[in-house]
Amino acid sequence: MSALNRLSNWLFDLTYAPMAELPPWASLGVISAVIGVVMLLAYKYTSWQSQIGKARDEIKARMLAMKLFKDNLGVTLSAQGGVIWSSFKILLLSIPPILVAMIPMVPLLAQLAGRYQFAPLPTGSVTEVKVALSDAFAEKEQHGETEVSLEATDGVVVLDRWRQGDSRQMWWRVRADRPGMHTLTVRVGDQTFMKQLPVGEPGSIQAAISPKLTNHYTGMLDNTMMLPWEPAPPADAPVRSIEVAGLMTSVAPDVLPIPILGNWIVYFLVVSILFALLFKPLFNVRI
Amino acid sequence: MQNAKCGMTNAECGADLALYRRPSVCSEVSGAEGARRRSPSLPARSAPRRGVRRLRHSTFGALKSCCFQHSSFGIQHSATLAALVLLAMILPGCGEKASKAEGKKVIVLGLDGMDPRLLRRLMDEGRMPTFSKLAAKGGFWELGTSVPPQSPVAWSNFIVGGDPGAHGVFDFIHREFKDGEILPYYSTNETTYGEKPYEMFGFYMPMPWQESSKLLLKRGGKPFWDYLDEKGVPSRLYRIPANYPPSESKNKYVKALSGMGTTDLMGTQGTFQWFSAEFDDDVGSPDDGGRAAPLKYDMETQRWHCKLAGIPNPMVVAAQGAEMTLPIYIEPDREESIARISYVNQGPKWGMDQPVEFLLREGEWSDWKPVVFLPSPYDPGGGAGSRGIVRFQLRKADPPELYVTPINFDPAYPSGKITEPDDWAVELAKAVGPFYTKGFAEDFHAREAKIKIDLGGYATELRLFDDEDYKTQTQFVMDEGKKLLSHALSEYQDGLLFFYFSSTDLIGHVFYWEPEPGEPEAFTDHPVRDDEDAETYTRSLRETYVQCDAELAKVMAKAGDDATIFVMSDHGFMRYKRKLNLNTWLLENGFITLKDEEKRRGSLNDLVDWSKTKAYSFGLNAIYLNLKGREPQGAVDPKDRDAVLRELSDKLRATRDPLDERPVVKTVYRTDEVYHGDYAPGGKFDQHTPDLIVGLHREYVVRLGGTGDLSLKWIYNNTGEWSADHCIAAELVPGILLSNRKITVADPNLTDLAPTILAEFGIEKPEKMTGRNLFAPPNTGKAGL
Ligand SMILES: [Zn+2]
Repeated sequence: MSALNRLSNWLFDLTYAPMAELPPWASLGVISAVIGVVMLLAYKYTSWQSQIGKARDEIKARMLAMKLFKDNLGVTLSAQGGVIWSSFKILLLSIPPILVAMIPMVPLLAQLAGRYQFAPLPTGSVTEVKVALSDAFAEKEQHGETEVSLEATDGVVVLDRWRQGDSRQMWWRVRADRPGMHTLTVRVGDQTFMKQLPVGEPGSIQAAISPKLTNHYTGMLDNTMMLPWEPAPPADAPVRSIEVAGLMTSVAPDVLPIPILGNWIVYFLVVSILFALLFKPLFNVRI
Repeated sequence: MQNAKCGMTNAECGADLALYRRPSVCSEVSGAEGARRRSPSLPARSAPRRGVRRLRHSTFGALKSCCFQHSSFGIQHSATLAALVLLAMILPGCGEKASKAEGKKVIVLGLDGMDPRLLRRLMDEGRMPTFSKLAAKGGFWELGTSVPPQSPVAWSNFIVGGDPGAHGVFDFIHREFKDGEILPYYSTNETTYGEKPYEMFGFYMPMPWQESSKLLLKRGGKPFWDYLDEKGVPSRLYRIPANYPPSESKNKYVKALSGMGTTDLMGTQGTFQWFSAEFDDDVGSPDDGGRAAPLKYDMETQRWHCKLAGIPNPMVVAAQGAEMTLPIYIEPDREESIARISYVNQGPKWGMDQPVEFLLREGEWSDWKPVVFLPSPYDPGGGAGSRGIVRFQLRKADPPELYVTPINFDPAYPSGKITEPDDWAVELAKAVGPFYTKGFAEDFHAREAKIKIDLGGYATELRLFDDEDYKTQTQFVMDEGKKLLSHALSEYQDGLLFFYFSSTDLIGHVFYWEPEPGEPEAFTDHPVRDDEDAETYTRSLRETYVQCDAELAKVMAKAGDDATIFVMSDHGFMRYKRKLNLNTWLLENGFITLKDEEKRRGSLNDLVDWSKTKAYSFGLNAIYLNLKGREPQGAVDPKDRDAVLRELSDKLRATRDPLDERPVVKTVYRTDEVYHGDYAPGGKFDQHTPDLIVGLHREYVVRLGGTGDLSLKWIYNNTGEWSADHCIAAELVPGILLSNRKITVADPNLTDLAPTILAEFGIEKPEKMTGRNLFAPPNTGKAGL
């Protein structure tokens, strides 16, 4: 997995580099538009175009029949049946290309999430760093048998610490004083675990951002696949997860008129579908 | 502004306050209310229009020309079109209305309760250089205030350019009659109750044809900005008092954020919540508004929990109008004075819950946090529910004590109308972040709150805010105001800009302890502070004035030379030591007769024998005759009205303080003499108009009358933190007026500003305005344009 992750990171960084200076809504707009068109072409070459075309033409013919013979109930009914059947055929025919498209889509969406779902912490702000300990180490900590501490690179100040009653959760508050990609280090006894903490203006960090590292997977998709940039603590580590609060963002709330579009995935879908539809006649693709 | 409580600081008035808190939603009608909250006009739906102006102007022209020049479909044209479609998605249809102000700028900075004497003093000391600069350019005058000089009345005078006879706001509190009883309501807005919604499957189902409950602006008269609106001159009104809910702008040239009078989410003038591990279930309410409730420990989860009260449930029949609550959890660290506070805002659909978790050290304040009260698991409104914002102060970490601000509307998702147009709130929130939206943002109730508890046999009194807490909290309000003003100035092009600060008043009520005119400076005899503290906090109020100087500097920098600038306040200030209970005075002077001489505690409705009662006091300064035909159980014949009023006025004026024989009453105003317009006695809408307004001498205030407790002495010492005020004779507490232009009127008054502003934009003085144009050439014989 990690080799694949590295490959996808490298590929994406390469494509993303020329647009790094653009505001997020613009770079995501370009990426979405290109992906829309590429997916359109992929659809063309992975689907049975002649059959889809035939089904489309059939629908057109039946619609015409319905219009011409609208007084003839028999014709109308059979034409309606034909339309439904042809639509169903198109649906079936589009399953294989969609399946093919899903394969590159998963790492692609993960990469986009890293760029557009999270923003660096604004300079000067305070946020929580949440560390979850494994049960065994939580007990040790509670009984004073092991120390857990948080350190940060220069420019991030650790303010205070809070421990849950049973020590399963330990939180720190940190203040981000200087922009840049900082590193948080959780020290448990003699072991250390790292987490990156980006600080600065939105778009100022030229790297993917993830809010949480965990070895405790829930969800359908493995976190290593969805968050491919930083290594998570190993499964038997005393630290189960490290999370930085407050990194959520919206693509560009100031520019987009519809708030839901501020969600990068909605924005991505809308723009890519729009461009696929626009280029459909040009590339003569039947959908 | 003396709030619904000038002079109400003691334990006696707990009962009164309950009456003054009118929930905007009641169990019977709340279903309909629920529907109103979801009406399509609310910002959740109108959000798409927001926040796009900057791009619009630069790109829209280019976009149009591209669109119409290319008609064939080459690849680059498809791409262009695609880009255009994308842009069209980004850019909304139409622009903001073009200003017809022709570059004319009028800026009004409203500083509630700024006192001319204190200001003069600070200017003389050189601490307010910008004010001095402005005064040198034009002038600095005392500004005549309203009768009575209470903020809602005074600001309404400013707004309509006339006295209370023109707008019908006579006091903080007005009376209305229901089933023969006299009930109070907040004078500038009122909630009407709609039809009872249908019940289905245990839910209330309001139907579109049913009348829903409505929140109404009760200030009458035509606000001056309506005339600007008609002429196409844009107005931007930030925190405008006595305009909640904001009046409608017919031509869309007005943008208004409502200020004083705006309720919290519960529909009250401000209900804080106070949780402590020391409270038990029957802790009761603090003396002076607000709520108290226990924090309880759960052994299993090892955390403390309490319930934050929200609005009554408007949807579920079985809830019977009970408040929805939000469980809040507090987990202290095992050694250090820090705790995690957490709760979950329920989402409208499964999987959309929003957990809120944060750390606070002992004494620390959180920033604004959203709280959502969802009336039913299925919320057709798309999840706004009833959303508000609060700030938490962790007063103690372990065992915990927590203060929660009144629940303010969230300007980013307002579940009530706080701006005109509706979505302006969203725009402001986007520019400056969340802010206090309720009117009385400074939480003086929390400064005065105390609760008696029993600690293992010892009766102890717990206090909420001390002076430092109040100073911190009021500074939050001030800082938000500064941020909003910077934004307002950055957006301002031309037309009218009005901006309001409340802190000069509400910090003043608690911290002002300046010597009276002619007295040497001494900080003695404060009712709750020793001399040193009295001085410290008086100085901290002076700092607030100095902060206003920096804000004025921002305004002057933006205004440029040809703008007209006004800095004004609605009234001045004084400290006070003595309090009056007008109803007891009326009782002792034979104007009120009791049903039972022994029974003096409770509401007027229960205590008074109306058939023998000639007059009663309600609100702060108002006296109403018990007039036949107007009052539910009137006893005074209209033909005797004049005689009773004369007798009453004479007796009031002759009243002396038993302590030192000082006269107590300076002026008694007959409303049929001092008020002009539809709301004046004899006018079209005079049924709520008082007959007399009592104007006291300096250093006296009236305790809130109406539901009055007649067991109180008619005059007594003030013992509360609320130790400065202004609700006395209007001529004794003028406000301030500074302008960069010289005025031509010798005795400027609040009512003059509206016609003056209109004249600046070339609008002739409307017939209904009684104020004068302050800049009119002196010898035209006729004040006006
Ligand atoms: Zn006041």
